[in-house]
Amino acid sequence: MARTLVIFALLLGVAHADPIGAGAVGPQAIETFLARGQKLFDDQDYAAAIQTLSPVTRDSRATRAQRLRALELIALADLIRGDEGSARATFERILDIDPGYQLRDPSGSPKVRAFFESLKKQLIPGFDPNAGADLEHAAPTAATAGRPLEIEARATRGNVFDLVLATRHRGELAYKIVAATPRGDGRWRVRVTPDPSAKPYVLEYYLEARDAGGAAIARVASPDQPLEIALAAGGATDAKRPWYGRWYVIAGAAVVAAGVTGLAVAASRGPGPGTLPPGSVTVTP
Amino acid sequence: MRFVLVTFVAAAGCTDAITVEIASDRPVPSAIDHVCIGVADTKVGGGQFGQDYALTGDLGRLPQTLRVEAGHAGSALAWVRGDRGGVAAALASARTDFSRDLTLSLNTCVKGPGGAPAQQGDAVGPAAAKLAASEGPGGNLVVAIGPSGAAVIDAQHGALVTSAGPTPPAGNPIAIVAADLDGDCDDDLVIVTDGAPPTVWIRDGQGFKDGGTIGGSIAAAVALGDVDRDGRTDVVLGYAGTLELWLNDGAGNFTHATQALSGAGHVSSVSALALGDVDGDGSPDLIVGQSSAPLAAWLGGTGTFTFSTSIVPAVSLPVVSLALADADGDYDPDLAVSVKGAAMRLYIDRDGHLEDQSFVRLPQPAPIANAVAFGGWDDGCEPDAVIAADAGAATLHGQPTGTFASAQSAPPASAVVMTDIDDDGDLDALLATDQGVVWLAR
Repeated sequence: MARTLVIFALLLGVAHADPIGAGAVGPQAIETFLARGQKLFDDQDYAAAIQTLSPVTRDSRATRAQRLRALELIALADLIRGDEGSARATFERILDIDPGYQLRDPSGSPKVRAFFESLKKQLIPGFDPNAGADLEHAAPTAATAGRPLEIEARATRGNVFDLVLATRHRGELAYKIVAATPRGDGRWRVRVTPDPSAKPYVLEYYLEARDAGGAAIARVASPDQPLEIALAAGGATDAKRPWYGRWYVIAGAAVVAAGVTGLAVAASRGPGPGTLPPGSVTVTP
Repeated sequence: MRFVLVTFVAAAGCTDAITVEIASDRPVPSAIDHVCIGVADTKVGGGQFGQDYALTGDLGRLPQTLRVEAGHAGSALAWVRGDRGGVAAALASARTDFSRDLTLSLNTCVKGPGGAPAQQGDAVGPAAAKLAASEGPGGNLVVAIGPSGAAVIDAQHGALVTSAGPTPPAGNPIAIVAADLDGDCDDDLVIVTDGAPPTVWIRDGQGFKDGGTIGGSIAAAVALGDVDRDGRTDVVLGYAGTLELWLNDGAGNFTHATQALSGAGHVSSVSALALGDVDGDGSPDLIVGQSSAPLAAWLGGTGTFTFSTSIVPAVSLPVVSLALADADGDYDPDLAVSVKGAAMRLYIDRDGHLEDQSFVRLPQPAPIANAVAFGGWDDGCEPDAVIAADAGAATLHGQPTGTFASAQSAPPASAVVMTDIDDDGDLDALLATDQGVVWLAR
């Protein structure tokens, strides 16, 4: 018995030693892989970085941004190791996912940039080396707490893949992020319902356009200098339910309805009418 | 007392009316928002009922039921098509002799019998054809139109059989697509050739009749879907730098909605079209493949389209064909792109963006495809795929991880459809080969 317990404890220990096991893979576990790969890359252990990051590029559960980060590090590692063929193939995969991809490479290496830009020119028709985006937006100056408000944005330049709205109560540190819905022609719309409040308050916000890799390429305002919407008190209603909304009234009505339906069915020959209009049809009259 | 009971049971058993129940485990309306129900006498010339229902208000949930009386019919085929965002997403059918109630399930998990697929009977019909499958009275049919002629194909006694259809339009076939154009829930066809304007064939019992043409221009691509969400299937045509939306009046008559869609400035060499609700707003979006320019996309509103750069990466691929279908079992349409002379691509719908996951999901090297069809073909719940390719068709098993694994190979093919051609409840694959149309079944 004691031996069994020891073996069980050891197995439990092994299972917990590697949280990125096959059964535990998810965005968080992939982040661990990415962090490990980045560390190996920073330590100039490029072969190990490639080995660590490769599973991320093949994992269907990795987000687009996670795969792009892994692919860029692999491509850079290939390039640094002098394997231009592999680097090119990896950069091509990046551009398949996001033709407008901008390198994150913090080294800013001119050689890496030149290699990537030349590849882009070959693969992307009408490649714009000055890619980025410009945004304009329309928002109400005032609204009511607890009621929806809408903000529209338009990308006047650039390939915007995602647009998000970040909001917070004035005085709070963290923003809530809500994705906007594309409306076509570079237009986006986002609807949020500020928390209800018995007192007026100020909602701070900024808009951020992102490329397919999840990197910010344009903003309206910023986390440090947000815009404001004055909210009037509202939304904190808790009206008493009417008598016909009470559960026992609904349940009673349902029982009566079921009884009536049952009697109607029993009184008729064959099945009763269906729920779909016209209720009953004849195949060949 | 015993006599009375027996008489009562016998009388109840003799009723010629049954309840047809439409059931599904798909969420309403995010995965299924319309159902189109058809019931048709199996006897030629018998009656037929078909009606589209929006799953809203009182009908905003499944199951729903319909009482069906035989009348003078001895047996009938009942079928249901489930739509999502104006495009067919699921199909179920069953025969009935009116002896017991029927349930048609549009469930997420579609399984086949397992085992390796094998060719059934001989190849039939024209060589190197374009294919489309049509559900309707009498069961599923496949229409094959090749440079040398056309055939309507059915299965009987374990082999494919052909019958004649209307005279096909002039020119070489480019595409055939199927959808209900006249509101009776069976699948009609739009045929695009390089020698005549797009031509409509209306399903007429267990065959087809000519339904006229759409417009006067020769098209290079076509896609069907309920663009304005009025319950009627509309037509999008494309050629060169032009895209056109033709709205259906419900009887298969089309009017060009000139202000609703234009390719001007965005496309130059349209070669393939696909409609599907990529962003999940209830309206079909349009994906455009081109022969010498990048993929492009339009977001669908209610009857209008607006160009959007955020749906699909603008990668320049010489597109042969597009297939928008759920490849990963999340109900959202994913995009399979057959590319001329290069590996096919698979774009997975993630929050309204089609993301290239070819390297992640497809076996490597990915096949060079002419066409792709998705469906539940093996004994697992995940969608599977059949690839028509010059180097030999390939069947791909969907895996629980969301990836596809190579399975069996099949003859070289130019086109493929998946449909239950023998009406036995399991999907089959029909491939267009140089010898004619080949039937693969498990």
